[in-house]
Amino acid sequence: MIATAWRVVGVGFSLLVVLAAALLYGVDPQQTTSAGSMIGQDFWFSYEFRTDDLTVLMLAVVGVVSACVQVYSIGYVRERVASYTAIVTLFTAAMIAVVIADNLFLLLIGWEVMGACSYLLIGHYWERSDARAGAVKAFLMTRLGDVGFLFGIFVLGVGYHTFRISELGDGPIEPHLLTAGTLLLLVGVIGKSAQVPLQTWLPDAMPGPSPVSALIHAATMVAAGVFLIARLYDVFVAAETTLTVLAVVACVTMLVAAFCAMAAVEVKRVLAWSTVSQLAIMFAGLSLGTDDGRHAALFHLLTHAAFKGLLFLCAGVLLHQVGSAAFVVLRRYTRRGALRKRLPVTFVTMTIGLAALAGVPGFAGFFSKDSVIEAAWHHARDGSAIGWVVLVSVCLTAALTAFYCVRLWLWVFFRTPALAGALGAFEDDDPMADLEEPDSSKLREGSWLMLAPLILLAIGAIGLGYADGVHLNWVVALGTTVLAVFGALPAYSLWQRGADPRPVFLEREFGFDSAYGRAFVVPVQWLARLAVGGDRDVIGGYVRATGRAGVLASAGFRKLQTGNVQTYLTAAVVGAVALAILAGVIGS
Amino acid sequence: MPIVVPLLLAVALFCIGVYGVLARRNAITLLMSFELMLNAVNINLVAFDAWHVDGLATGQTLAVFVITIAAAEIGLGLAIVLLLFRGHGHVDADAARDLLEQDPVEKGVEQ
Repeated sequence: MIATAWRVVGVGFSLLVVLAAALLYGVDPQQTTSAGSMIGQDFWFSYEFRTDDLTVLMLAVVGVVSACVQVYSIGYVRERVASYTAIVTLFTAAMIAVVIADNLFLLLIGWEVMGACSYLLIGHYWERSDARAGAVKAFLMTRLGDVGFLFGIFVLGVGYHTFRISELGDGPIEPHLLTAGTLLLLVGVIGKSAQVPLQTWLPDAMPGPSPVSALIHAATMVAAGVFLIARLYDVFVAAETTLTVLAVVACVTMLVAAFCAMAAVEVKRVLAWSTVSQLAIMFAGLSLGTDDGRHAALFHLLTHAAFKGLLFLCAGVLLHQVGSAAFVVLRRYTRRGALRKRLPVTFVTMTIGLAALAGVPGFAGFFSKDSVIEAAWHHARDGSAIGWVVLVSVCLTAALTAFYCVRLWLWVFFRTPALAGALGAFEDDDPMADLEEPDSSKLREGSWLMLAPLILLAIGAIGLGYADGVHLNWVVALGTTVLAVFGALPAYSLWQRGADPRPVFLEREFGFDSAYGRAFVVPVQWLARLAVGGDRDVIGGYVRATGRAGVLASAGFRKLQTGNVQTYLTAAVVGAVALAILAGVIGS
Repeated sequence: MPIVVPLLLAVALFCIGVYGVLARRNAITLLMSFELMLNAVNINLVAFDAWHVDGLATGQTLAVFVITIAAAEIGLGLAIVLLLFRGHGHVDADAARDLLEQDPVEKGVEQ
């Protein structure tokens, strides 16, 4: 009953957000004014809201994706429904708060609530240790970035003498304050959007429910970082150093994440790394510092929301119907050719999603990625080094993206003639090697509650590419298509030979986790042991010594207690006489 | 008569009483010693009352109260002694240890 009520609330809230976006479309930018309260002597804090084109875009994205996720979750989530739906709704609401906030502190509130919600949702299956560990890791790493974010707000607010977002960028500010403030904000953005060096939490967040992954990766949380830079674009453009740092971080991240995705052996993990990579493409567009770049990045955010949400929901169907999204388990069905035929809707929609991700001409990702490349090309042509670096990185990433998309698609859905029914390169880590062959005749397509969002998002993953008006630069389009083919061909030939080489350093994801383990986890554990030792052996020593002293003293005193009343009386009389003599001596 | 004479008598009687209580074992002797101490106090009360020439005679009144209470106390005490003699066949105060903790156990406080 409570669960049903929450589901109604969740879906209704998402639809309200979509309605709000529709009503606000085309309305002139507005800001509320409300009486607030003073912070200290100089600053005025109030709950200000604003709407403009960016707000409407984000409201539409968040509303549609969360509506899809809420409907999908009705068919997907079976346990702890009420708390799950409530937290997903709160998550959406927090993202809305970030989107409509016109005050940096209000934005921070939404930002932090999202962090808490992501922790709770990633740990939804808290009986699994990997879910618990992933939740803690996500919380700690985003929290690390949020420290920088908070201080960035302080520095910028003090520098501009206001915390209102619409007034930032107007007043004069000292250059070093601007650079410091934007760099600190960037730390928060890097944490939230899982960019290098804080990227490792996002793939480890995959034990969470798939609809939550779709929500986090498509609309909320990681998109908040992109949104923030787009929102404060004037401020960031004024800080050249920060934009350079952002460009470097984005270029490194997109390549590192794409390489990691090439070696992942679980559908959701591949998708998680691809999210990191695609977000980096958006950041690269933003780091150009041009209006073209911002426009391209937001366009990519929009299309990415559609196809990445779609892909995660598809992965959720695989998880729900098959029981696992690991390549090796899925191939047990695929080698009989069952998976594709038993899950036709999932297969088709996932193919559309992967095509959009890989940048197949005609799909949404193709147009938005091209617009980023085109913006970078324009910037590079004007003689900017950042433009060149971004251009080359995005082109390389496009090829790598095509590789891992094709690899995922072929290995999951198609039987390999060369392997003659064997599992192939994934046999090494097969956890169910000794089990019976799965009965593929029991495999069923998901319920319509789960399929309807897939179809809606699949339409978006094709149609949104034309939303911006088709203005193709034929050179760029041809170039990226060739690059995608260059990326796809090795994947195809490797699959055809039944080989899936995974270099060790890619499987270990460039060793970030083990390096962090040595650099941070081990020292922290040392400190923890030190603290435990201090507590147990020093403080606890005093406590135990107190008890022991009491025991010893009482053992001594109990010898006096003989039970002979006459002894007691003698002592009392002697004491009284002694006191009397003493009183006499003192008194005289 | 100087006040010091009855006071010396009272001190002598009280000391004899204290000695009896502390040193003797026979329960009846103990009770008699209590009576000696009480009556030493009574002598004090009456003597100070006379010396003070108190119109309300509070000292004498209190002495009457003490005598009454002492009568009740000795009645109770003798009843206990009688029961002790019936049960144990003696009236030795030191030997009456039925209520004493017999085997003291060392109890640890640790943990």
